[in-house]
Amino acid sequence: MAIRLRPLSLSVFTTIFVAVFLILLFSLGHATYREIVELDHSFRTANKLRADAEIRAALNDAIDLIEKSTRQLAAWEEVAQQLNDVTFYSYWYRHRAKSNSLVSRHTLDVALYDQGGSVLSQIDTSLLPEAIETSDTGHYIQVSQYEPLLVVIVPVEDSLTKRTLGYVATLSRVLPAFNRLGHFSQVDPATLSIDIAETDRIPSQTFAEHIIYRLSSDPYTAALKSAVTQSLLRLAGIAFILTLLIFPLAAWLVNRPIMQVSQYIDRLKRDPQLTVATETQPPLLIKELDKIRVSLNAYHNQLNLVNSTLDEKTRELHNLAHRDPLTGVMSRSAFDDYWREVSGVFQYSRNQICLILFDINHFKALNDTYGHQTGDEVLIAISQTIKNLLQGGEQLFRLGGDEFATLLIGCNARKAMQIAKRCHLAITNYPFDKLGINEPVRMSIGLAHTSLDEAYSFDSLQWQADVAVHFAKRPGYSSIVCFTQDLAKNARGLYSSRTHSAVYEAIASGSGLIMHYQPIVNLEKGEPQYYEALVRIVHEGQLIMPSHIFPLVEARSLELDLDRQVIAKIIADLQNRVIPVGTGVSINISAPTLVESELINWLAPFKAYMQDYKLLIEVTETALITQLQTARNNLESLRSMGFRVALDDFGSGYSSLRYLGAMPVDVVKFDIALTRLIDDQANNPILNYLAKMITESGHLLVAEGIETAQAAEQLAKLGFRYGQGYYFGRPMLKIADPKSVKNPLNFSASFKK
Amino acid sequence: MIALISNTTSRYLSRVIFIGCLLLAGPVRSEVIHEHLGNGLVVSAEYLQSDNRRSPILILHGFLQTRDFFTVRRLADALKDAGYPVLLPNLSLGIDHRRQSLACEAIHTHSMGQDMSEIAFWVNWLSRRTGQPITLIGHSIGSLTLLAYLDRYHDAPVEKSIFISLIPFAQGPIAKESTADKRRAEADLLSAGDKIHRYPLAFCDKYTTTPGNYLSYLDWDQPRALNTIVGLKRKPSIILGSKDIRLGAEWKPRLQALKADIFEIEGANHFFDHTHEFDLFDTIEQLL
Repeated sequence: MAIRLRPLSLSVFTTIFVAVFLILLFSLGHATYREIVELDHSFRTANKLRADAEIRAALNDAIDLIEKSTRQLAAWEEVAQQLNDVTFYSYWYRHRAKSNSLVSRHTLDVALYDQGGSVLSQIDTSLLPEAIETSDTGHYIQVSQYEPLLVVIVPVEDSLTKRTLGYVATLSRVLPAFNRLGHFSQVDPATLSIDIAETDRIPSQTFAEHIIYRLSSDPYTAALKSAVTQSLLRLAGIAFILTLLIFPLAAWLVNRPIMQVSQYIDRLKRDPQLTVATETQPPLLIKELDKIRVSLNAYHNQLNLVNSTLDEKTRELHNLAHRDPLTGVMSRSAFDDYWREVSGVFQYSRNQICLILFDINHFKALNDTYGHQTGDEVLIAISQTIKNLLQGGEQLFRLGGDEFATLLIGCNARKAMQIAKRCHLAITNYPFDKLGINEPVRMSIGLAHTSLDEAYSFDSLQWQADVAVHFAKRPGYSSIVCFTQDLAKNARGLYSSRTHSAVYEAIASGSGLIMHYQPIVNLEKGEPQYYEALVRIVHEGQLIMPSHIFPLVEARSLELDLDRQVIAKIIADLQNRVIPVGTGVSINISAPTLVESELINWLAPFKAYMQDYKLLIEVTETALITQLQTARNNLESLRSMGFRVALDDFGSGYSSLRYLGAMPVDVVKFDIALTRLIDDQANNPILNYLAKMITESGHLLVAEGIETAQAAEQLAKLGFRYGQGYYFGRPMLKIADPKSVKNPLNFSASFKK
Repeated sequence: MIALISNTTSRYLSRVIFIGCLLLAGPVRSEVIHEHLGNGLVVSAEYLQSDNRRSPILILHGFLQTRDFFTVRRLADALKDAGYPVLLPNLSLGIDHRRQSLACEAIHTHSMGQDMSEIAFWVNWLSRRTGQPITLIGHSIGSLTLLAYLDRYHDAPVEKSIFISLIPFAQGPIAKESTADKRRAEADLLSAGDKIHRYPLAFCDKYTTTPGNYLSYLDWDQPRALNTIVGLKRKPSIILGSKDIRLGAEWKPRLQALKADIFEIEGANHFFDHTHEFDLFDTIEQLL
């Protein structure tokens, strides 16, 4: 998981940068100093080695010098003379032994020994031993009064016979020769000293270990080290001082402008509408930052301009979205938004609010009779008439179809009634004959107003207005009805608030929406061929029937939403194998949905089930009245997808054989009103001929409302291929085993019984 | 007769002759002869042999020196190259197999008599070796020693004797010894004759020796030397340098008074160094 660090302020960053810079600088200085110290140490180590070598070399040179002198002495013929004849040895020792050019000037004593190692003559003052080991010639160090003295013993040979005549020994001071011969570059000669105990004899070569000295200070190295150290300290000091100077300067030069820009951005955040004039602000010190500031100003001003344009466009779009394109009044969605807004306000301010619903009587018939264009002109004329009569501030909304509404804020019922009456009068007096309409156009108006005594009465205004309009359309009532509680009692069954909310919820979320399936049976074989899907809503354990659903849906123009939920539910049932495989299902599609451009896409998921099911689209005859061409195109597309089209409720409403001929219909479902003509002997021939005509035109016939075996048998004889009705089965949530469906022959048998 | 050889022409002529002798000379060999004397000492001499049958020469070094002293060495080499068998003995001076010059302050256990004996030994040796009479050449005190030898050994097989820079003891400006020293030595001899003392002798301030040994040398002073020369059967040839400051002013006149064969080389000092060695050789060559 990536760690998201909290952004740090510029001052913190600057401080961290300076701190890191200083740390790195001092670390580098420290590392350099350490390297110098290590270098100095390595130099000292190397110098120590060289110094040791110098000490050993000087010691060897001193020993070699004295030894060489002793060997020369041994080769001196006077020595051989004394060894051959010791008569005058004492004299020779005193006057010649140490007083000749062969003896080193560092030599303190000389002694001659015979072949046996005994001194030729004992001399009291001699520092050399009286006897030597003849097998142990060479040299060694003898310490006398804390001064190291070198004793060198060399055999004296006869030059002719090489016979050993005796031995000569010298006792010499080492340090003077050592100091004189030493070429000391690493050793400080002034510090040379000897750390040795009084002893008779130590090997010459180990004597170097007793020589103490101090390294001579290399003036160049010392000066270099001192110079580098001082340079480092000076550099550190300068860096520190520069940092102290540069940091506030940088803070003033860089941070302050950046902070100004940051504060400026904060200011713009706080006040986005602020318009900034760049030229009125003092320029920042840093060119780039000033460029940023100027650009920011420019962007901000441009953004403000764009925002203003966008706001304007949004308002235009809002108007477009909230305007009914036909009449120019506010649309259904605008009404919903306005309703929510007023509802919110109403929670806190109990103004009187009146809702007036306008509904044109028999508008569909008018539309059908005089054409869409005329219908549209009627709608425009009525909406403009009402809008003109509304006082300032009140908006007119077209809720759908021929239904309009206005919401009057702070208006009492009496005043609202006056407005309603004026509107009704104006509509009544409107010269619709100019539009080619030769019959009166009437309007039903329902009013509902909030009551100061009832809490939440606003929520039920729509329902109340619906009830009022409903009664305004009914015979015996005025065309203008104001809702009363008495009306509510009469309309409870039709427009209950319970149904109202349940339907809305089902349409909005699909909650409570269920499908019941009623079989359509092959009248010859008695087997269910397919099932008609019929919508139901379950609410609080009770079933809401279509007779209570559709008036509200049509009144609110919710057909599209309901159909989408129904389609989704049927698809789910197909997926769950609620419908037996090998049968089929017919789906009722409302008129608005049939002309919906997205219908094909909505029904596309059914293609996956066409292998196992016969799928029918049932459209009501009335739905075909408007936008015939669009409906035809959609139906053609559905047929090409594999759907079959059934014309529902044929024979009811505004029946028109022209539509049947013009529309791509496969199945014609005779409405129950038409089917029951089978019982009327007088009208039976009409049914017979109608059925025969439609059958011969290539359509399959389905008879609805079959409740008896006799009717089923008779309808079969009339050419009806399929039948539907309580005799074969009621709409059920779960489809019974197809085998249990009554065979019409069996029915016939039972009927006969 | 004193022959002054200072003519340049003759000098170059002699050099040509010398080089000619070198070319004509036969092959020479050198060997160091060690011999035990009766007193137990080993003495040595370098013998430069030659196949030519020229007269053998014995060259004796100066006081306390060796045969490697440059005057005698160069002369010996030249004679050897000229075809003369040359014997170069080192007087032992009381030191076994002596090869080094001896310091004045060293203990001198030798005497003139021992020196003469050693010369006699080597003359006999060379005589036996060559079967010819010997020519003796001495330098400085070496000449005096040869003179003493000839004085003692009248029958010595010596054909000629050439004394270069002949000088007696107690003679000349650099001689340290005096009559008083002789008397002191004589007194020392009487009182403690076996002990060593320091006496002035020749160029030595502290010549360390026994009184007897000291006197053995000191006896050979100027009068004795002159007398000996007079008494020799064959007069020696004496070569002197005109610039020899070691010689006393009266020495040369007295030698001349003896009518000895005296050759003086112009400009040469006591040691005949530098180009005078050629003059010295020329003179000797002529004498041989």
